[in-house]
Amino acid sequence: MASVTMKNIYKVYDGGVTAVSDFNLDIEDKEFIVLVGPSGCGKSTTLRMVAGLEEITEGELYIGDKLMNDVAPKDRDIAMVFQNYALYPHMTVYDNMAFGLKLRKTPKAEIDRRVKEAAKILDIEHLLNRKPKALSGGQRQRVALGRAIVREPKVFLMDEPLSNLDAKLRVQMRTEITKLHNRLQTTFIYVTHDQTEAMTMGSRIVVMKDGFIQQVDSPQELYDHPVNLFVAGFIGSPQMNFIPVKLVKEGDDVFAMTQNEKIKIPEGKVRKFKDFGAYVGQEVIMGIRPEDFHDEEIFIQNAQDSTVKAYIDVVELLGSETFLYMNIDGVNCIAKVDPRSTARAGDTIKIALDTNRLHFFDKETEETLLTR
Amino acid sequence: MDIKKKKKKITTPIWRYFIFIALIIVYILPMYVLINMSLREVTDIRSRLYPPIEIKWDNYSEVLNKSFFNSLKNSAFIMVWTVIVEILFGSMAAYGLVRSKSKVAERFASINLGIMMIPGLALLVGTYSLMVRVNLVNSLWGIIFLSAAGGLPATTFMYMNYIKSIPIALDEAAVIDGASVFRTYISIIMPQLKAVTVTRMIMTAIGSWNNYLMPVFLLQKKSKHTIILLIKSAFDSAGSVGNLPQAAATCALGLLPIIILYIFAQRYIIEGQIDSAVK
Repeated sequence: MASVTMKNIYKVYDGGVTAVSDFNLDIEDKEFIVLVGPSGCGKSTTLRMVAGLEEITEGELYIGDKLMNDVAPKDRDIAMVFQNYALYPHMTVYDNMAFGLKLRKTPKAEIDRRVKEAAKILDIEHLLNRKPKALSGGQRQRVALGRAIVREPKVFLMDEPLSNLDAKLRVQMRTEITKLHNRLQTTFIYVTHDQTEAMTMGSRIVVMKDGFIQQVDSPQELYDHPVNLFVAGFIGSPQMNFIPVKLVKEGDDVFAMTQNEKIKIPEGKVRKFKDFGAYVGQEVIMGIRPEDFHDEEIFIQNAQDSTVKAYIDVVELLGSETFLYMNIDGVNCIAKVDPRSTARAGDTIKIALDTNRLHFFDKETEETLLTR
Repeated sequence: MDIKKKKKKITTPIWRYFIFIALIIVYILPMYVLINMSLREVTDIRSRLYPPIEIKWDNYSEVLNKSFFNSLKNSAFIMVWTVIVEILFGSMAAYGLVRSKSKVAERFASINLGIMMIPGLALLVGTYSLMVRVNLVNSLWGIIFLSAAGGLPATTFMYMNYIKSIPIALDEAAVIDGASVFRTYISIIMPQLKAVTVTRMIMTAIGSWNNYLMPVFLLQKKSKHTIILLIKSAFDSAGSVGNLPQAAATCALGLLPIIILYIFAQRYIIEGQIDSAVK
């Protein structure tokens, strides 16, 4: 078990393509950290640098207190689970799991004990004599995890391990990996492009874009206090709605105004602005999550000054909730409402905004305007 | 709808059988003539399509002398070592070329492809003078190195195509497991290449056994003669002395090992070809 520290890490490929820029991160011992971001954001490259599969162009990587930049992957005491499982096709499940230990000249009895123990944890004892081609996707993934577990590494690295599984199995394996982390009490670094995986599994999430860290925070903090427009849009499904508004002060009241709508911003929210004065009369981006729209009558009556007109384009009934695809003053938005909602496609309805949960971003820098 | 009506009888048209039979005759006929010839009396000069008047097994026993076994040993030695050298170096070179990220490797791969197009005969004079200089004339190792070098571009090319289809994640998993590059090649990559290795081994073995061009120039001492050279000299002497049946027996016996090898290994060759097509 060990902490992982990355200091000013850069990865520049031949030809000058910069995959990772100035990456700074302290991962605590036993932490489950998730690197998330769109394709090409540098998350896998970062993981591969920790594994030693990619050279670090600049910066320092520590596992525990040992500088690892020039240490061979086998000596880093890490184990990695790959997206395509990377099981050795000609070996049985047992041999796949034992291969690394054999190379380390671990005594046979010890290898046997560890393999069987890992197989028991992952419920693959009955598969030990099979070859990978005789396994289902989920079973292969378990074997890949088993191969990592038997090594008893200081750090587990996982590169999109669930992306080859179907949706149902992915949900199941997600909880399995979380349970595994709780059981093993080891540092996990997990890469995914799926924000649901990130939100449900990570004790902290690193959101990346274009090789840069955008925000490092706990899932809830990330959701409630995104530092910029990218994080706000990336975390959450359906994603946050963004409406360009003008901040207007009328007496003691502050309003966010679109062309035809006027939404009162509560005093508590105004106080959270870092520099409210600078933005009065200015155009900013207002963000609101789909679940912060309400079409219930009681909510609309109690929030007259934060109600807008919305034209409903499409209604999606999902059973437990309903998505309303709507147009508010020329801006397409999605609302997640109660399934008992009576709104139908083609209706123009009144819909209220939970103004305490509004987000505001600078139009130019795209940074949040609010403090926590 | 009536299901029975929908069912179509799956049969092979009869004309196909005629084509198959014609092809089989074309392939079998030379072998038949050879065996037929080898079992005749010298005096039996009827058409070679007729069976022998009297079967003379002595033609075979007369051939099985010291010089035949010596040639058999030479051919086997050359064949085994050519296969080993070609497979070992071809697969290693291919692994390096495929996995290397350097541009030099990329260029080398295309040069390798170009080398495959050059006929061996075109290089004969240069090769011969080189072999004289390095003192490898009348040496079985000379033939082994030459044959292996001649086959290496094709072997490397074939291996490269296969290795490209093996996910690099396997190498990376092995590296993290603690394997060196050589261990990864031996324990992880080579087992995936079983089909191509067997195919290439058989092709190389057949090529080496039947190699005539290089041995005829480089193996001038009789003690170094291979089976093919022995067959050649048997037919040469048949021309002057007139014992054609004995020359045919030499030929039949000389080809026997490679025919047996082919019969046993053809399944692997076909598997290898299918495997490469699927990949």
